[in-house]
Amino acid sequence: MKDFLRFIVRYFITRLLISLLVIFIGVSIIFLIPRLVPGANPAEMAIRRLQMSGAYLPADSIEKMKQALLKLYGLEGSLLKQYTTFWKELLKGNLGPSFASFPTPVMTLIARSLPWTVGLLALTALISWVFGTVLGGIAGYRNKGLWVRVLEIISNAVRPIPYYILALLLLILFAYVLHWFPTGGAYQIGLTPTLSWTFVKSVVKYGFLPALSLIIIGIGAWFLNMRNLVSNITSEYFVTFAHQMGLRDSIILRSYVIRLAMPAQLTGLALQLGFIFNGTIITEIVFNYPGLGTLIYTAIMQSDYNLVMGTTLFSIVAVAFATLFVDLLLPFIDPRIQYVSG
Amino acid sequence: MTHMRVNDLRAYYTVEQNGLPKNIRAVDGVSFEIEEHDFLAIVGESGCGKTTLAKVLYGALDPVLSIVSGSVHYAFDDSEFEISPVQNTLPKAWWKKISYIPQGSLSALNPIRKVGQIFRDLLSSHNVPFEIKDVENHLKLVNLSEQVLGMYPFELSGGMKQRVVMALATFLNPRMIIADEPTSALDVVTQRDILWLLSFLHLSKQISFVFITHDISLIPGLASSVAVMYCGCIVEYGPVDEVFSKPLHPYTKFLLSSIPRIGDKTEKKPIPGAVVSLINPPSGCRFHSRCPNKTDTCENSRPNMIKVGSGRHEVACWLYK
Ligand SMILES: Nc1ncnc2c1ncn2[C@@H]1O[C@H](COP(=O)(O)OP(=O)(O)OP(=O)(O)O)[C@@H](O)[C@H]1O
Ligand SMILES: [Mg+2]
Repeated sequence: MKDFLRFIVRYFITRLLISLLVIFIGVSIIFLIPRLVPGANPAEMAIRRLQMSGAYLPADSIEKMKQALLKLYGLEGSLLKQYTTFWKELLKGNLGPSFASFPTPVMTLIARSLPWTVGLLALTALISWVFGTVLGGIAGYRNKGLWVRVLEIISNAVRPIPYYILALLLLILFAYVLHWFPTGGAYQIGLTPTLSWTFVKSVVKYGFLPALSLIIIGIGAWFLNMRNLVSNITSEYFVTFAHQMGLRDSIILRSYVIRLAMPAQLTGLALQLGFIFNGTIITEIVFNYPGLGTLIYTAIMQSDYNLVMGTTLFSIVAVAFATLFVDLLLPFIDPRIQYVSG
Repeated sequence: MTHMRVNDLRAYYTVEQNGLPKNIRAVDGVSFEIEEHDFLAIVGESGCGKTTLAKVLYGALDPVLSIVSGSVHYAFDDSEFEISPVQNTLPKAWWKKISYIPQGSLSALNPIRKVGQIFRDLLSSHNVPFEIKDVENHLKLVNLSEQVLGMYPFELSGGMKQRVVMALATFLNPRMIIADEPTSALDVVTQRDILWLLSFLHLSKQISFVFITHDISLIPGLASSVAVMYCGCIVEYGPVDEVFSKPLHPYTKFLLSSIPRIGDKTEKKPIPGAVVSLINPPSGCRFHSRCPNKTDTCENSRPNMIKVGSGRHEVACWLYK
């Protein structure tokens, strides 16, 4: 027992260190890449935006302005110096100002989008996982029967539809034709975000179509996954033998079939939740919904290094920790997976 | 009292071959009876239909395997069960009256369910209260320590899994056990222990056995009667000592001459030819192409089982008319 505990602690610490290393490397890469891409200088970008808005800037003032902007953005000095300042600030929780929306801090921008993304994606991921897993489990276990066929036909019909087509179809049908739901936004314009009933109602109403589109796609994927898993497990001999022992159907379904599919399904769910912080840009564009996807996209387009850093940081940390979580969880839900000291 | 009566049983697999449905006639006209407390061994080469016969005797049909004709009838003190092309009431007798030890015992247990949990599942499904003491005592009977209850099947050795399956199969006190090659994946020492255990269960719990094997040398000292199976048919049937001392069918003689004996210097000859197809079985006697005593009759018409000697010894061969 003591050995086992030591084992777990060692296993946990190695895994944790690996995750931290992954995060460190990931963040460093994200720091370097935009700075090494030629022609993507945020100061030049800002000046170009000014010029495009019609302002006339003489040539010599452009250079002066560029230097001033770089200083303002904290982008002067050698790469190494920038890198060390960056880590110092980061460890204080400071991600610096956004360049494109100077001087708004990156944290503020992220905090504005994050709740929408996390709310929408975590909720839809969980709902689709539960429904997809349950339906797929039943369909895989009883691979005959009328309504299992019906489900299969529906999921096979939905599968080849690209997500953006589905999203647009829902939008056109329910927002433009039937007028049941608004055509875009996160809540009714004019309302102030508070925990009032009117506001919550509005959030649900505005979030319904984006959520529905994600749930349809999500259920389809989890359904097919689970159905294949379960029909493979069902063809294992120990399931047949469980029937031949006269075990009750409900026991067989729960403990001899579903239980064996859980490690794979839970791993999938944890990883999907880890990827939430990438946002979902197509949903955000089609339904004009605020979120991290659009934020990341515009940050990249505008060479807003700090914002790119900030948003990506969340993704890297989330994915690394989701993986760590799965690694730690698996030995508990599948006794065949043993801790291997690494 | 007769426990089990098998009456001209035919069970075929339907499979697709080159787009055409084909029948694999794995059990093709099998008849025999088992008395109470009997220990019947069924012996035959690989692929002759032994497992198929076991599945049908147990009533475990599947989508590709169906009974074409004939029936299996069980009569116990208080109940009767039957499987035939029109009905199958055997599942109601599963584990309470008839248990099954499958050929693939090693993959018969849910790898991630503790043995104790499997016992709980079994008992709750059959509405029997779970008493840990009973289960522990029962495990002792099959030579397993109670620690096994806390272990997962993937942590058990092959011999231990086989014992667990046997403990499960006997816990509800069935009257009949169908054991399909229960020792074939085990080493010789474990194999002897398991056979001893079968014998012990047979004698102490008065359970009738159908014991299936491809190894004829296991039968003496274990079984009371033997059926020799060839290509979906029973070709010889009788008390073990009679069949072993006076084999009648040429195929049985071949099987017996293949048993190695210490000090025996004669050369072992393989049975000429290979097992014939179950899709297009040969006409007449199915053994004729490999038989040293074949005549024209053998090629054209199929011999029926006839009684010879004591009256409990039967053979299907044109040599005995
Ligand atoms: N599920 C199945 N579907 C189709 N054909 C099958 C199936 N199971 C067995 N067969 C065929 O039926 C015939 C008899 O098989 P069976 O398993 O009964 O043989 P066996 O005597 O038990 O052989 P062994 O000693 O190798 O276990 C074989 O030709 C086999 O190919
Ligand atoms: Mg077999």
